[in-house]
Amino acid sequence: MIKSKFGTFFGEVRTCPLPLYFLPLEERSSLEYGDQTDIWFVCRLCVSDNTPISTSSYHIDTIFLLAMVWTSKVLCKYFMHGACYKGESCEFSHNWDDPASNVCIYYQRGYCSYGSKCRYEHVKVQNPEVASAMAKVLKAGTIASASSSPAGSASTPVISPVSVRKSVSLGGSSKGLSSTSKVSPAASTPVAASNPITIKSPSVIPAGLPSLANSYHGEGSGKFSSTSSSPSSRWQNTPKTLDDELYSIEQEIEVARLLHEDDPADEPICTLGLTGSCTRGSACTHVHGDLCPTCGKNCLHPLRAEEREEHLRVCAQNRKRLEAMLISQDIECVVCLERVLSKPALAERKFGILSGCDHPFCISCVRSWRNGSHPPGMDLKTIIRGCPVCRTVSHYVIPSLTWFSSPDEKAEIVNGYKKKLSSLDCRYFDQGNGNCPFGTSCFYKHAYKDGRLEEIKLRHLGAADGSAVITKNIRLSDFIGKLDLDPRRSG
Amino acid sequence: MASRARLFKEYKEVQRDRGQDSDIQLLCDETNIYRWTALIKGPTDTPYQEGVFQLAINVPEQYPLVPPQVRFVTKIFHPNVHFKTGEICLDILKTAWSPAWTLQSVCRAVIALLAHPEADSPLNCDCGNLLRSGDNRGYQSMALMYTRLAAVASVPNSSA
Repeated sequence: MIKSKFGTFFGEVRTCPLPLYFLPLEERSSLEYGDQTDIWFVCRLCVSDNTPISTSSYHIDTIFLLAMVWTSKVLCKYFMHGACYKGESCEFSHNWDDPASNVCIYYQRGYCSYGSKCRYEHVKVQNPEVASAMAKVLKAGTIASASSSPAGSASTPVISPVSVRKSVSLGGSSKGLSSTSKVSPAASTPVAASNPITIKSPSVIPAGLPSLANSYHGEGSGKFSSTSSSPSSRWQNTPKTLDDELYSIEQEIEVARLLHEDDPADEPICTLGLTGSCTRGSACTHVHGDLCPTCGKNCLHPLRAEEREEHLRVCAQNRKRLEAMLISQDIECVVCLERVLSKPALAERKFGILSGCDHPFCISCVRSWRNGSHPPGMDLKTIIRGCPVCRTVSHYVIPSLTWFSSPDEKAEIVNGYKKKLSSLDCRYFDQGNGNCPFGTSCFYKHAYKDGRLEEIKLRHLGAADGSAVITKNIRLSDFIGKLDLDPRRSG
Repeated sequence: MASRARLFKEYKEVQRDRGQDSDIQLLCDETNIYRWTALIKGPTDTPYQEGVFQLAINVPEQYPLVPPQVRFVTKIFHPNVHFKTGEICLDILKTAWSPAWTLQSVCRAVIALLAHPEADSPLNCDCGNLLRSGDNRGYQSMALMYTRLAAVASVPNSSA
């Protein structure tokens, strides 16, 4: 868990040393990041490559954090021009000593069409500063690790506890750090010695190593608990090729990992297998997930039943929402004749559903028609409260982000809206101090200060034509109040 | 400004459907999108059928929440149209307005009004009285005369 000024994050971290950009709403929903849809910051390169992010859903919720880590070390370009309106709350640095970011992201990908005329710098990113900043923040959060591996291409500095774990279980380079060295010292030492701590993503690890992993899994499971208590002494002996800081972080991860090692359900799913691109097949040492029928990815962990159900539920929900969005996209408001979801103002991209009929409006149009000032003589009950198209009278308008295609969906939207309102206190009722003009048909919550709900008492009266009507509260004072007989009342 | 966006939409619609609906010709003032002119053909089987009538449409800022002001420029003898000012007595232009109506549909409503005079709420009392007293022939011939006098003469102008 990492606490940052953007909120609290769970999960693991993947770093990309390139600038992260705020992702506009339209793009956010068009990207497929597993079942995560709330992505706000992302590296443009990763988006266009579409490889690192789309195959692993685990780093998404920490992209905020990455933005913060990275940006706090980069000079704000608005500040440079003396015009940053965010002031102290700006996530970029307002310190002239920090370097400005002027790196060409296309060059990182290997090709920039501007060539030598590009206004951005054509250098490969090797960002030790960012890496050390990452390390500090992550240390505070005590879950993840970071390091820089500038040697590779732009995508190599991908570090996450997951990848650490993976490389460990693969018998990869970080094996030397784990207690496995005690379990099977002969097998692991050569690897550890040759490449002490550099952590690579699974794709870089030589293919011959799975045999090590097998031995690790086979012998290890029973002995981890005994070794987990003494990693620190071993740590002091390791050659100091990286910051001590990083060591201690790795250590913590190890301990955390060892505590859970016994349970195979904690094994992460093979990220390559997610998209079906894992070439190792059954020889792969990772757990291969089962196919999710909705999103088409092999992301159902065979051993985590709860997670499977949760994923299936969320996935089906997202699919439904996406379909609804697609249908809603083309629907025009009858009043302004514009597509509701393409309106210029973000706040206006909302439907206003009338309770009585199924004609589409945007919320702003239907609200201004019903609440706006009208020329005298217009009948409130039939004309203004009626649908502008069919004149069916509706007593309330339901705001909704999507349009519906069946009466059931409409009922769902309406009920969801009412449920939401019924959890909010009515400001007219004012916890029993005020008087709500909507009485018992008010959508908001009528609760007293002690949380007790208002009792609903309906008074039925026989009307002149014989039908029964429900009356509002009638008090004797309503009739005599006008006479101002009571000096205290009038005062 | 919502009115301007909406009027532009309607303008585009009118441009696209040009020639499809020969009964109504909507023209926008080139300098002011809030001022429109409409030329409507009198409906068949009425004394107005040979005429082409010009309407002046003045769109208020609050449109479409508020109805446009429509009046006859061409003189017309009809119970619901003021003989001198050209003011139209039509509920949808006053109390029964709906923001879903467009200028095109307003013109269509005016044509429908020509075909179905409502003598019980007259703006032209003489015409209303003729109808209410059952003198249909008198109404027909008066309306035909004014159509020929005022509306038919403008046909060459409008088609030119």
